[in-house]
Amino acid sequence: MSVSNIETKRNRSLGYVLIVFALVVLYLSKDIRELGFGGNSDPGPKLFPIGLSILLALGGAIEIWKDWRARLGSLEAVCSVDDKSTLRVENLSNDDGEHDRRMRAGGLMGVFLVYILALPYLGFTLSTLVFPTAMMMLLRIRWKMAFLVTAVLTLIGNVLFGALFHVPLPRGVLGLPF
Amino acid sequence: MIADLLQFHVLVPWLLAMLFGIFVGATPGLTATMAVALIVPVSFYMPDPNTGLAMIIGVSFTAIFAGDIPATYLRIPGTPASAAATLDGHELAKQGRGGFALLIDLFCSCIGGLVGVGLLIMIAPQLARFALRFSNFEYFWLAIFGLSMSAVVSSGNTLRGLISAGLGVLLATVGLDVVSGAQRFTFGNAELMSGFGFIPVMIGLFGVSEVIRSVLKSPSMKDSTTKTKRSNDSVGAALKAIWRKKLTVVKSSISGTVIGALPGAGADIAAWAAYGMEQRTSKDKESFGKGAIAGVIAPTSANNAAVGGAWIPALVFGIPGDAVTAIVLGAFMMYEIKPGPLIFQQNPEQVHSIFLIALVTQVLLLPCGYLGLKTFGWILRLRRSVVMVAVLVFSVVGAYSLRNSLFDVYLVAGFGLVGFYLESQKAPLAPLILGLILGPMVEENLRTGLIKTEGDITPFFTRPICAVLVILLVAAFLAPVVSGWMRKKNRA
Repeated sequence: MSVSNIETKRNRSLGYVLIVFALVVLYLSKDIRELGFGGNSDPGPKLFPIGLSILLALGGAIEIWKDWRARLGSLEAVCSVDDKSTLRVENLSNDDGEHDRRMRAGGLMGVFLVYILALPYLGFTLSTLVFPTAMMMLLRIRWKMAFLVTAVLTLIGNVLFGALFHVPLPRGVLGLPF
Repeated sequence: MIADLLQFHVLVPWLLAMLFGIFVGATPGLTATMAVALIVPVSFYMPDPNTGLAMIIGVSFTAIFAGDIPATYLRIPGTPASAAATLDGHELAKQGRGGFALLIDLFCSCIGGLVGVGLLIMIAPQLARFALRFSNFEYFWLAIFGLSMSAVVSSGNTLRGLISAGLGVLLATVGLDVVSGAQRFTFGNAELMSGFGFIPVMIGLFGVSEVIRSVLKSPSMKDSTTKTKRSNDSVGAALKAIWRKKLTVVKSSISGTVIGALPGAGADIAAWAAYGMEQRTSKDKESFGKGAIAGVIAPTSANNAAVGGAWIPALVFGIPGDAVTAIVLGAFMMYEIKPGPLIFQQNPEQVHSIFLIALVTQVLLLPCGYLGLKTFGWILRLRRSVVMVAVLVFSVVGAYSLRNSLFDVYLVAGFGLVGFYLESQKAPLAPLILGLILGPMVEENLRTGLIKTEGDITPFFTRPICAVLVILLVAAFLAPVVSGWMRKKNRA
């Protein structure tokens, strides 16, 4: 995929995300209660959320407009008419390596989210032994090595934070003593 | 006072933190910002506040130096501030003089750091006396100026920088309103009353998002072993080479401090500016990029000097110069140290203690850095995937340990995804962090100023310092437009 195409898609996504986010903030801002402590001269607690969401929506609109302009420009670069007057479109296929890396990063974040959601139920020790091992295996480390490393990480977490700093690390529903 | 700092219970965690900074900074893909964000939760558990401060300050300086190690050997900057060091440092490494380049780098980083901190010690108290004249109106513009500069300077795209800063200020509105006490976007959640925790947001934005980016970027997570040539150049030879270029060291350190002091312009810009300045003024321009010693000295002196420089606006006005200083400033606030001109009058012992820690850190950088140079091969042997997963685990346990709250852990994950998305859109993260820190300052000063003047906005423009700041702000935004127009005109 050409760089300008990727760039254009990115701009478009940011513009729309900003507008939706700004609209949600605007909607939620109506629930902010004006307590009136600052008197009549105080613009009130709604000023910043509303003002900033309008500015962010404006920023999003500019991003979309810039994307529209860029698309007009890049259309001529990506598509070209060859000698035989047939439309030739640049090869837009992605490389397989990038697909693999995306899957790996997505998988890593998926396991990471499950890890933090499981913390209150399984406790720090058990979840740290299980999920980071899975994360490393996802990153192509052999399970024995992965387990060994996570065992060391769990030990460091327990000794440093649990024993030394007296942080009550989550024990989970099993109530493990560590 | 120095005796207090050199006690065993202070010195050991301090040195360990600095070694941690070396490890993170020297690991390609991990940044100085991440190193500081990860050390902050640990620092809170130190029995003496000075120990915690020493750890944080120590990491902020060492990680910048350590970034030069892979920059020299592998041509992969450990941190963005080391990008300029790849040019001549790596050329020297290819000639088998990587060790020599890094010894020069280490001494220059130390000298640059000393100059930066020295100027901080000289300038900050004078500036603080001047800043005592500031009231809400000036502070409002100063915070706006800091935010805008971070957006203008930190990336090639000013609009996305401004969007990022705006998002930061908007995030800062979550919780109890600073003026009226009204609840904003708390959804009945008690943990949101005090707003988003600064440290979990930091860890998420700079730790988790970097892990995702690193996995996406790296073709193989095994790519850690790279052969490096070792050289036998001695410390004496490095010191002699530096002495021959002493003016370069001084010039680069001073320019690095000045650039670092500008809000938004961090150590990376300082390093590039010093390199460019040295190249332009050198009699031997052709040697640059081919292993010139001055090409190593200039950026490495400047990037560490910039860290000290960034502290000038941070300590005097409470306005951080870059993302690393923003985290340090956030940590100071958690230590109940309130940066601003009054700190120099009300709590001078604290200020002196910070100055002293920063100075001693430069001296400790020598043994820690030397150890880092010697153990670099070991750092490289660690597989990147192992480091990345370790970062995730310590992000979780570090965020949890601050308030024993799982909510903070969820924030880490959430902001990790937000940070990754924004960076994938080429929106810089530093303005967001500055927005989060400066947001309450902007809002409180604007609203308090308006209450004082009964709604009249003219003092925001007519007071002399305000007028100067407004003019500087307009000039900063117009400068690129005008220079572009001039270039076009010249070409025509």
